[in-house]
Amino acid sequence: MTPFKWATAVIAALSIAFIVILAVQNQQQNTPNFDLVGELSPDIEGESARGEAIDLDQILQQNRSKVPAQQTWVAVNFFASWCSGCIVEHGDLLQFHEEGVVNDDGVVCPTQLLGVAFNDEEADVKDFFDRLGGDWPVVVGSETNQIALDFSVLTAPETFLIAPSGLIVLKVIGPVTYQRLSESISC
Amino acid sequence: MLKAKLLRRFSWILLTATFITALIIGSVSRSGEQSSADRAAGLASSIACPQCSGQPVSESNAPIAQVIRAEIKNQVDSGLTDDQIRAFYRTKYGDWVDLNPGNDGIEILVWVSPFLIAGVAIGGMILAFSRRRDADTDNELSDESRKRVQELRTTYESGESHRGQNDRE
Amino acid sequence: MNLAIGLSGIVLSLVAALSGILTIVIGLRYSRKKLLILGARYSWLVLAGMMIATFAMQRALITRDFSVKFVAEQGSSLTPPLFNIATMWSALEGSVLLWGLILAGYLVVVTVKFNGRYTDPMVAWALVVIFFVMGFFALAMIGPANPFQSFDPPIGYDGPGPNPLLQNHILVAFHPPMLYLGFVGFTVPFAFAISALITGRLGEGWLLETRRWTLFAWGFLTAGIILGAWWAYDVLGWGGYWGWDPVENASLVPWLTGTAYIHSVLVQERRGLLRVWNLSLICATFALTILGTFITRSGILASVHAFSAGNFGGWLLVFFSIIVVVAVALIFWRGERLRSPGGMDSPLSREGAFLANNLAFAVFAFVVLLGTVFPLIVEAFQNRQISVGAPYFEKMSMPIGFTLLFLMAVAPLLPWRKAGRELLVHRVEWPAWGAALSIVIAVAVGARGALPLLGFSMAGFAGTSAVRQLALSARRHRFRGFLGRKNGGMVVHIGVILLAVGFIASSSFVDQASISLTTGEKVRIAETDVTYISSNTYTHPNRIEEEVLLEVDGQILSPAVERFIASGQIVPAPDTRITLYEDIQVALLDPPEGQEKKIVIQITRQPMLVWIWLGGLLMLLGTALSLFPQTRRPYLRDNIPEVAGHMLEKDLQE
Repeated sequence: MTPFKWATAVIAALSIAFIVILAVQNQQQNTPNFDLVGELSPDIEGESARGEAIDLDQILQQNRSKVPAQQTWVAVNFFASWCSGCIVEHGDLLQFHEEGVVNDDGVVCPTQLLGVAFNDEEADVKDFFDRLGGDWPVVVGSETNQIALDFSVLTAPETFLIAPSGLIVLKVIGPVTYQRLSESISC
Repeated sequence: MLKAKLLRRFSWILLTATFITALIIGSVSRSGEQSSADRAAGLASSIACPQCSGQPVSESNAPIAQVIRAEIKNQVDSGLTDDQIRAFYRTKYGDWVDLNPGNDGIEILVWVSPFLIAGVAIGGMILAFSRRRDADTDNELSDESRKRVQELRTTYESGESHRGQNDRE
Repeated sequence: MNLAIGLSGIVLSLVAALSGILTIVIGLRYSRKKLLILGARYSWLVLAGMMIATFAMQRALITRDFSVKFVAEQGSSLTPPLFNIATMWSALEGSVLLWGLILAGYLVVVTVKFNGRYTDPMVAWALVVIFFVMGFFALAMIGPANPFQSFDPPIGYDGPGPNPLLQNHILVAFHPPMLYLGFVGFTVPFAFAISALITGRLGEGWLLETRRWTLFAWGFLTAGIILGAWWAYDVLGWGGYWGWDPVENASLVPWLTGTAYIHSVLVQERRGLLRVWNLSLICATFALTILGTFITRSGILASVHAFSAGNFGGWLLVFFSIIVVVAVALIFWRGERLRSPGGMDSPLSREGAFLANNLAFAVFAFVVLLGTVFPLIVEAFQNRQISVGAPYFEKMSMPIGFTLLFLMAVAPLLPWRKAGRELLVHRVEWPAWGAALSIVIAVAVGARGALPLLGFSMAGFAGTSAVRQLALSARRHRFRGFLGRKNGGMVVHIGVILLAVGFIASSSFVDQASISLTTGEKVRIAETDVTYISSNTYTHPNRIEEEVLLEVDGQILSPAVERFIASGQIVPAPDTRITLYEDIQVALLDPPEGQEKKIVIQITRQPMLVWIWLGGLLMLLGTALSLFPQTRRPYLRDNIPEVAGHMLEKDLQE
């Protein structure tokens, strides 16, 4: 074969390889996965709308010196006043906060609900809670950006459930239900 | 004739001098350091908004894009390097969120292969040219050719000719 | 009713195309002239079919016939009339119909132009190829990309209308059709290239036949791409006009190879060289248009422009494979025999410059294609996802851009065959001064930074070279000196240079910032004085527009945000103040809220941005000029070796 034919053959081979790659990739649909489930939770440190200090690490530390039945489960809820799904789930969150979760033996598992504002103004957050009720600590201010990114949040609402050990056991994208949270907690 | 040559030489020198002076003035008077705002803007146009179709956060107003833009500014101000900031977003959302392909592993191919291809092509052409090196290099027209050219010219001037077919549209 | 008419139109086209292929192939095999002539005439039926189908679609859209699924999904009673017509190509199936219509149009034009030559195997095979491509698209329209599927609308049904971004700007009526006129146009030279390979006739005949087509198609593709950039700039609000998005790149790659082709074709015409290279280039260009369509419509790469449906992507990939396999096989089989005799004498010549030009464009096309598909390759081998975005393309295209500007400057100065040093030095003098002057002017008006300055000087270098060429030509031929390939080409080059200058200036010296304002507030941001005057809400049939009035550096601008009723989607509508030396664009990021009607705006200042559009306009003007015949009488110079011509000139002067 002459050099010309060699060159053409090489180009032919490369083109066919290229087409095969395209064909294979055309079939698959890969969605990126940045789930934090099964990993240790990032820390949450900040100030709530009412000025209280919020420290997730502190809660987890305290868990170490308690018996399992008394260790606190933490639910972290990323939300915003501009998001319609957050309004939908707010009732469930209220229920979670006020009633807590009761296990099969009738014991109330200690739970803590933390809210984190997502790309929202403090005034709007206050207004949101004034309208819809609820008094759990909500992180506002400039730290919320870093916290959201630490948790690889995409948009509001997203809710994470953190076991007493600090492991994230559940991630819910979209409005969360009381059911989902309570069935994942055991103590 | 000599004066013309000198003048020509001088004009080339003047030209080069003007060019270089302007270039130096233009390059030097710009501040060397990139401001942090510039750095943040540069990073923002190379980090993709995770929720959009591949657009950088500098070109999207999705909430997460706003969050990332604000945080990039924060990270730049708190002294992190560009590489560290990029690595952060890669960890949080995956490698695909960095619009700048990396420099390690298979990604280096995307930077290197164009140069390889260009090199191969240039090499091929040099080979092709060197094989024709024996072409005649005589630039001067012989008197005979000159005469012939004059003849042809007269023919053209006087009227139709078959030549020029190539250029007729 | 529309469904029946539409489908029958498509079937007609398909049957006519297949009949055409069959008839011509049999006619060639058995040397039946009558069959060849008959076969060619089938193209009229193909066009008739496509026109019937288009008529049916437009009728369905205009009457809001929701029994047609396409109209039910894309149409709406709220869409304004002009946008309603454009709705035809606002989604996949309709756009394939547009492609088919344009292809049928080109097919008929070819048939008319080659009337009386149907018995020439070259023409016959070319028609077969075009019929084949037509057959594919017609078949697709019966299969995965069927625009005439039925739908049972519930009572009182109203469609959602096309994507809001496709119904708020007039360019939706121009950008897609022009792009298609470009893409589809390349089918014709491709068909003749395949025909030349099959018949083994590669004299300059096929080239001349198709040169104008290619320029025509290239012109439309250029227009389509520039309009797309303008549209993006006008609508998005970030001051950007080119995002190196996969779909944008998909339209750029064939443009790059097409540009390489229209240059190297000149070498083939003049010296008979690069024959097989040109064949390969035109086949590659056409294949790349199909590949680009595949990328756009398969959803294989995430893009804001992608509009995919079903498995049409798979069909396109199959078609792409067929084209590639056939073209490469033919070149493998015939290529060697058709290679040009002789070679280039010297790299320092017009041919050499064109060769370098082709190399640069080929590398550029490779870079853009590689960057676009690289994520797919990595995913195939390593099962992980990466991105290759603007930073890569910008870095890689810079040296190539410089090279191309340099070549643009130098090529018109180089004679064919070989350049004498003195000749070159003489010719390059003015352009060199142009380069020096450009950099001085740039520094004088405040431009800073080595790279942009070098870019400006290179542009000046190239610009002066082109102007010099035009001046020489105009001096000799007066107004006719602007016509014809070479001179039109110089005008195109000047357009490209203006575009390059606009690009360098606007991307190197951007000033952008955002800020929030309440009514009556006055701020200074990005070196601009902005006063928030008032806000208004306008209700249109299909959308609600929230507009704010701002005084920006003394002028009133009114950016807005549009919320489309049917889909609920929100679309920005920035406002721009355009002057020759700068564009100031204001985008409304957050619409008025609360008592004080607080807003968030973004200001983007980019110098000389309008030069990009002006340059594009000049490119189109130049293309049109190139299509005009040159002077009737061939002038002396081009038929005698350049050196002799130069010496003759000196003779005349003495």
